[in-house]
This record gives sequence, structure tokens and C-alpha cells, in this order.
Amino acid sequence: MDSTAISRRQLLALGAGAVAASAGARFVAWPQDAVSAGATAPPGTPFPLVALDGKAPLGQVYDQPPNYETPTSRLIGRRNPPYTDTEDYYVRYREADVYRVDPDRFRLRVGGEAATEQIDLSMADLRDLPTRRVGTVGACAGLGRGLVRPLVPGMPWTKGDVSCGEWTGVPLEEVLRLAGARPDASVVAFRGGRTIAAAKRDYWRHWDLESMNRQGPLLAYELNGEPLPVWNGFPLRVVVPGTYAPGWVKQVVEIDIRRTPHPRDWRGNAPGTPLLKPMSLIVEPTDGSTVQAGATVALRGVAWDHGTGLRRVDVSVDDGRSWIPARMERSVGRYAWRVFEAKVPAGDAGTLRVLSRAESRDGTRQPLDIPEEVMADGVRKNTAARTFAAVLEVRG
Amino acid sequence: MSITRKIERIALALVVVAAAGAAMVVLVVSGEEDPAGSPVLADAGAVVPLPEAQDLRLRPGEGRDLVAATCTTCHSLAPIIRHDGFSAEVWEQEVQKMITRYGATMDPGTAERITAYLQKHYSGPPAPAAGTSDAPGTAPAR
Repeated sequence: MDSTAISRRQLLALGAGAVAASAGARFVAWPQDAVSAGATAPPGTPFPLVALDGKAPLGQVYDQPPNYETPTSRLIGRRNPPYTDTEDYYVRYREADVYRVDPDRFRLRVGGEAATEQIDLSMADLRDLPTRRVGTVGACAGLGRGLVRPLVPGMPWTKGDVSCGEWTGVPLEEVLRLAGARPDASVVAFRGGRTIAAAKRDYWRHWDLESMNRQGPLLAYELNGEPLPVWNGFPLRVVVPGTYAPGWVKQVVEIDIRRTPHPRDWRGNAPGTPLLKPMSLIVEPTDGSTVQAGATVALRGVAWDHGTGLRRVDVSVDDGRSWIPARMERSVGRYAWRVFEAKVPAGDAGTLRVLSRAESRDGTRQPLDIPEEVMADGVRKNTAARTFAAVLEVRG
Repeated sequence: MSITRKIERIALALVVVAAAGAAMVVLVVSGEEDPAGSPVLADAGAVVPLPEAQDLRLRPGEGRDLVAATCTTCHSLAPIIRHDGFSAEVWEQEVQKMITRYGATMDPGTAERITAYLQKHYSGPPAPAAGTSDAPGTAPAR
């Protein structure tokens, strides 16, 4: 694809604003190789590529509060695939101002009505406790919302508010034990270190303890063996493998061990454990890439569920009338995503839409269309294959 | 735009005063956010700098300055511009949500003028997303 074509694609994807963005703006950096001779691939996000301090250029959905999606071309990392490289891991903050926390002054408070003690733990205390390392997909519940028309309220993410990382930290059960969690403790709530917007609302998220424990939750202080970036919750965050990440509270400062729901939970839903649904994303070729008519297109993607294990992934070039089985790479861990590959015919000149569909071992699989209950919930936890179709241009 | 950065911008002629004011704001905010006795969270003033988006310019029209001044108290213009295409009803709900859920302080007349601007200038057909403009299946199943 020549640079004219890329500009046209950017224009299509972003509206006129993208032209202003790419014209000498300070932070906007479309990869140089994407506009030089011989390069072919768009990055895999419609948003301007902007680098936060210490991060790679990511798709800037919002600048403030900082919300950046990983370009699909970077979801599978280069250093330790299939894990996403730390600097490419997506960023989602509700707080307009993100603070650097002094790890020497940081304290985590743990207590509550269903605990015998109230304790304050330093980072040194936490590092002295047993550690566990677990790889898992982390996915925003709003994944793909920005692909839905008409637009619905909420962050307009496309395909990049998801990543896969290896987290190191303290198993939550160790901390609960130190605080003397009672046998009748049934809810655990986490509070982030900062308040949200002018209302200065605390960010509390509560979980059902029994079902959360089945997922092996931890308080993580490393991502991919590196200190957490501030953008991903430094110095400490909640990680619950195999679940949607809105409740993985970043910069967590307080744990409330309870017998009842937390009265100030952010969403106000009943405490639960939001398990990841079976899901797949084609990451190569990226959306907007050009392929030759009559050619065979090699696809690569990632697929995951909440730890049940995937039975299969299939792809379709005829809107789901027929399916082609994908080849699955080996699993690197029950909560990590698996890479899949498939070859499909490009067909005639025009637009090629490729669907992918993951199926879990328990028989659950991605729907073709968005179910009504998902629409009614603000397009949260959407996995509809048609929403996430790869869209390629076939040139005659 | 952060509160501190905004203060600095408004008080361009009083740089020193503005900087001192910004530091105080941060301290006050920290005090409000961290009730007495709760764990230490952060060094006052250690806000991580954020790159500002370069493509966020509101369309000209009556109420633009009011929208820019009011809405950027808590967030940049991105949540407006990235939602070009919201229906009139959704824009009204969003403004009300900012007041009731997020604590935006504005009188009913201001809310009305802001809503009218957003409905007039940001309810057009949205830009296609990532090449999926006419995608089947992007509407809910029936």
C-alpha cells in the first residue's frame, strides 16, 4: 500500500481530525515504516499513535483520562510471545490525573467486618510473602464498543483494550489470612488510591470471594518480570486471572473483607466474578491491509476464555455460512491466550471480511451477533464475531 | 488538561503564583482524597505528565467556549470528539450523567446550552470505525 492509500484509510477511520493529527503533531507518530516505500500494514487501531512516558506508541482513545489501546499488530509481543510486551500493554485509567506513588511510603490497608485484624502492609512486607506468577488475558469489558453503530455511551475502544501478561505478586489468600479473614467472609472489596472526577468518588470494586478464589487472584507488583508501569497500576494492583479487568483495581490501597456487598461499589452491581467469555481476534493482517485478488491470505490471531480451555477456533469468509478450522498453537497457560493461524482465499477485488469464532471445551462459543442483553448492558463483554471481523481490501 | 496545568495556563502572567497555587491544589486534593489515618498514596505533586491529543478541536459554533471551559474541568475534549455521532437523546443523557454521577457543577441553563451545542455539532453520522463502516452485525441481533 502506498502512503496515499494509508492517508485515505486514516481519513476514513478517523475523520478529518486524523489529517491534522498526522501533520507534524508533536506526539503523533504513525510508525515510519508504515508510510515508507514497501511497507504495507496499517497499525491496527484507528486512533492516533501516541507514546506515554515509558510506553510504546499506542492508540490514543482519550488523552485525559489516559486511555490507550494496543494496536492489534502489537498484541502478540516480540520478547516472550504470545504475551504482550510490557510497553504495549493497554492503558485504562478513569482518573484524569495519574500519580506516581512512592513505593517506600505506600501502605496497603487490609481489614473489615469479616476480619479479626486491621493491618497496614508496606511493599517490603508484601514482597516477603510467598509469590506466584501467572499469565492471563486482561480485557476491558468495553472491548469492541467503538466498532458498534450507532455509537453507544462508554469508551469507544476498538480491538485493543485487551492484552496478555505474566503477573507476579502475592496470592490474595496470603493477605487475607494475615488479616484474619473469618470463615463467614463472603465479599472482598478493593479501593484504588485516587478518586474519580469532580464528584471525588472512591473507586471501590467488590467481588464474590468464593468464585474469585477459584481463579487464583493475586496482588501483582510485576508485569512480565518488570516493575509495573505506572500506567498499569504501579506499585500494586489486583489481578484475577480469567476475568474481565474493570475490577482489577490499580494502585490498590485498601482491602475490605466483608459479609455483605460494599455500599460504594463503582457500578453498584451484586458482587460476582465476571468470567471471560470465549473470544478470538484476528491480528494479522491488520484491518485496512491490502491483499491481492485470488491470493491465499495467511491469518494469525489470538483466542481465549476464562480457563476452561479452548476446543477450537474457526474462521469464515462468507459471513458465517461456512467455517474453516484454524490451527491452534500450544497453550502456555490456562488463562493466557492462544495463537491461531488459518489460510483463507482472498477472493475477488473488493472488501474481504473475515470472521473468527472461538469455542470453549464446555461448548460455549462466540455468537455471530450482539445479544440483546449485551446491548442493554452498554455493549459490555461483547464477543459477537461480526463486530470483530477483520476487514481487508482486496485489490484486483 | 490537568487542573494544575489549567491553572498555569490561565495565569500566564503570574507564573510563579500559578505554580505555587498548583502545588497547593495538589496538596488540598490529596488531603481530601486521603482521609486521616488512611495509607499514604502518593507524593504530592507527582502527577505523571500526559501527552495532550493534537486532533481535539471543537467545531465552531455557539456554546463552544462554554463547552471547552466546563467539560475540561475533569477530562479533555476526547470524550466529546470521539463520540461524534451520539444521538440527541444520548447527548442529553451524557450531560446529565456528568452532573449526577461525576459531580460536574453547572446550573441548568449551562447544561442546556452545552447539550444544545453537542446535539447540533456532534450528532452527525459517525466516522466509520476501522474499516467496518457498513459492517453487518454491528447492530444488535433481532
